[in-house]
Amino acid sequence: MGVHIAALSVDAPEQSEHMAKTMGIGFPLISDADKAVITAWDLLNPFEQQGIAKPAAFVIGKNRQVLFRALETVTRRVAVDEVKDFLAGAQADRTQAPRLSRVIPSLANWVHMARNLVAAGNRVNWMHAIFYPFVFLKLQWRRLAGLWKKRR
Amino acid sequence: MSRVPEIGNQAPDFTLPLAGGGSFTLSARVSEKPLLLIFYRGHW
Repeated sequence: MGVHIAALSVDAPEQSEHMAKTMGIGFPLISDADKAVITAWDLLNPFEQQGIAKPAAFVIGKNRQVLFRALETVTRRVAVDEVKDFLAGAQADRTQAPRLSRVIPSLANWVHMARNLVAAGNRVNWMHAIFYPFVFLKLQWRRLAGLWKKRR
Repeated sequence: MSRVPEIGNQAPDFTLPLAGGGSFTLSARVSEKPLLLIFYRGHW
């Protein structure tokens, strides 16, 4: 398909190089070790390790215009097919920032995480799952406080 | 409020090092065809 692919994380270049070799990854791995880009793009998850990227996918066109984006929930990643469908001409329908119901883990999320826990030990994103709703509430609180100020 | 780049808006440019050496500049990479840019949690 007519797109370049690149992936970004806070891993050092050496770590990513190791991953690329062991997993046979053929596209560029970008190292945002200082977290400058994930901070500027508001994709910093501060609750895990010393801060890592929140999973997300963008399709970026000429002049750096955002054509598609998918912001991920606690346990879910964008389906490869959704990105493919978009590139094949479908609507970029995953444009909304997560709604409350998608931010607070559902029963299905917890079941999914429990399964991951059994399968992969403590790799699962449980800290994020617990704390992310509070971040969301804090943001909503700030928004309401801002509106209140405006009215007065 | 979220500062995540929205559809139709311009994403902030950046230049960062690449695994295996060299550097990556967003504006240079999107000049000929679109780029699928994936943010991931990192290797465990």
